[in-house]
Amino acid sequence: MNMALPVAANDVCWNRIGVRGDRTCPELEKVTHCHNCPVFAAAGRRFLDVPSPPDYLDEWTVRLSDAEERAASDQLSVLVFRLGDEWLALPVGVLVEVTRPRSPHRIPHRGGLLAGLVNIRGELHLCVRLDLLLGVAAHEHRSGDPSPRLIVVRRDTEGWAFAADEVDQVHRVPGHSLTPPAPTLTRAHTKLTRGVFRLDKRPVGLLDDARVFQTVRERIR
Amino acid sequence: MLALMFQVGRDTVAVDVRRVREVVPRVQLSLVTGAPAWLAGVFVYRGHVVPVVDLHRLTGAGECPPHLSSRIILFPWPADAPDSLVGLLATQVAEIREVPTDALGAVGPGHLGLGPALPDGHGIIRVLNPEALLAQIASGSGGAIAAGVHG
Repeated sequence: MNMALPVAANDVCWNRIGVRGDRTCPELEKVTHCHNCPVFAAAGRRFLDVPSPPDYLDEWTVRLSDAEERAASDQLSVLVFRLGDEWLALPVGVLVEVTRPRSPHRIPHRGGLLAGLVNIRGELHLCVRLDLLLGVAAHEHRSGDPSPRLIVVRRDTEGWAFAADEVDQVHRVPGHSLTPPAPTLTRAHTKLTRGVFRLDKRPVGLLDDARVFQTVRERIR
Repeated sequence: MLALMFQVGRDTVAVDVRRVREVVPRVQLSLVTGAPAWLAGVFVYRGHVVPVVDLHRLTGAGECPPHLSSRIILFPWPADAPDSLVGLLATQVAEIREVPTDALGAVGPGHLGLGPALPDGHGIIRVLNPEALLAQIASGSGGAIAAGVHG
């Protein structure tokens, strides 16, 4: 591809009086650096005023005629975390933040599902025992436990936090790779699970955020 | 108004980015028999046939130069058919910037349909209303634009 440079390198202003030259250009007061200067931008755009390379039109003709790749829309972004011995995931849409753990302030005469209130940068959040809600075996505190975290979630107007024993990261999961949870599973969370996918050979239960929020709303009322 | 800037002949034209569906590179266009010269042709975009208008020809500014910066700007048209698009071919489609439209009102004389003139530094910007332009030219397109071309 023979692209003649439309801009001669030796006599352009940024090499003479700009940042690559003696910096005497009066415009530098205003724009600080030649990269911010409209003259520089205009010169850059002139690179596009050369004829298209030979196969360019054909390539784009083919590329644009193809239907849009739908693969991307089938991907779910989920945050993977661990409660006890269960690996679970929540769609990132409901995720607000993952923060260091802090102990909740208990609310008198309230226990069970509601662990208490946590203060996150001056904002009070309900702290929910998601492990109890899902019937996940309480984990025994292992020494050298990988870092526990507090996860803050929000859906529409309701939000709360819960403690996770470990947070992996956000993974992208193809929607078709979800399999229904095992029917023999009698734990409460089968009805709160949208499906199971495998991540590094371990099964991860993708929680149904709508149902989880609804159940929390009903049970901590 | 945040506007997509491009050139048609010697005119600098701005169009509201909210009207634009997508900007795509220039492609090989199939000629449409019996259509006016300003109808550059049709191409297949994601499985739909989309007619492309050469704004240079339409405004009598010669032919759109075969540059890398000559691109097709896709607009939804007509408004009641969500999947139906019309492309406008112009050159130096390479910038998006804020254009103050307060001064817009005094409609200056101009080429067919490129829109009212707006002073901009030392030059003039035309503010294109794609719907108005397409409504103006659809009837003269030999049927290529109004209904889209199928087959």
